[in-house]
Amino acid sequence: MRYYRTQGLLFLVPILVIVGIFYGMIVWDFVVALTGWQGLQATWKFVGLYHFSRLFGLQRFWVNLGNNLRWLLFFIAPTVFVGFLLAYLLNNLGRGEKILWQIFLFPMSLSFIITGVLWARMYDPSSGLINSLLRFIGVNTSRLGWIALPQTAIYCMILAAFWQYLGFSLVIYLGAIKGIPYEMVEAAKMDGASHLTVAFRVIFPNVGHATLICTTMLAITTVKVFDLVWVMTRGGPGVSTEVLPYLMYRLTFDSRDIGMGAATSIVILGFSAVMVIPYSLWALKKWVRV
Amino acid sequence: MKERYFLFLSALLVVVLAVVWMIPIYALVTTSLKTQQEVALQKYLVPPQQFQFTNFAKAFQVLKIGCDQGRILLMVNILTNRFCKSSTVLSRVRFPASKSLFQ
Repeated sequence: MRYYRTQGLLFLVPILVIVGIFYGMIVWDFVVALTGWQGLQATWKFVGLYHFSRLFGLQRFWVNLGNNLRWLLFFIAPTVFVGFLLAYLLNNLGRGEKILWQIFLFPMSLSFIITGVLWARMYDPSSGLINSLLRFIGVNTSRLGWIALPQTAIYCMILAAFWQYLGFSLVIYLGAIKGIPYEMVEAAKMDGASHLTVAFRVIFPNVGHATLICTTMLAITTVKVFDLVWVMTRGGPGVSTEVLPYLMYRLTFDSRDIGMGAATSIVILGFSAVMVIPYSLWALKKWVRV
Repeated sequence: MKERYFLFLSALLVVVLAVVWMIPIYALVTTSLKTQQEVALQKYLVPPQQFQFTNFAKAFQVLKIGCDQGRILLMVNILTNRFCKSSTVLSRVRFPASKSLFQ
């Protein structure tokens, strides 16, 4: 039986409709950001970049953007680095590896909501697990406020996310390390290379594809982190732990300022595109030889 | 000798880290098995005196609606997922932008 082009296109109709809806939503987002649409009202007044200029005038917006950058910096680098080191150590261990990597991977099966509730309870200054443990050892915990302090709150939150996502980078690196030829490592060891040299001069350059996957996936997670912030601190003491998706939610659904919310979402889209696309192109050229 | 020393040290490090990693989960599970009075003592690392599942019974009563809704969501999700499997075709058909989109 022969197939024709029209028949093929006919079979594609459902998926084309779905793809059309996806991209139509992005276009709709731009439309909402550039007009004075008020939700259920049919007022199509073109206001240009008014929403954007108002957004950039907000102090809160810049704080949130800074927090997003902090997430990018202090979440991705430690997760990737510690994940790689752990994968190297586990790869050397041999027998115990199978149980141990599952322990690290287990938090990945929890959702961010559960992690948030759990860690918020643990960070509680008066009755939390961490402070009660420290008190048990004999540390004076009266000054350790964890997520109650504006200076440390965001780092505590990042630590919770780090706890959850370490297994992810660990597993990806473990798979990549298993994939590279063992003779290379053997040869380096024969020449008297130390473990540090083997890990960072021999193995790390050869698992560039894993680094690329890890950093990109974690960057995407970072840019859209919302649930952890919502559950743990609701934006924290003041606005000190707010991130851009949280601001978008607050502007759209609490202040009913839909244009501003759409403008924020476009800023997030631009932010993630500017962050991720040049990086992946650069990393593809550097580490992955196509 | 040096190699064995390294292996021992790394095993120790990884095991300690794994134990630290499991502390929140351990606290979560043991707290769910304690009575309200025991929880109020704030001794999170002490195992419960007696395993009791009344907390779970209560939680399932509250979660009943959520479970039903989850089931509906799952069914809809699976159906639409089957439907979307036709996207595989999209990667096979040659059209002007196919190379830049899928390769």
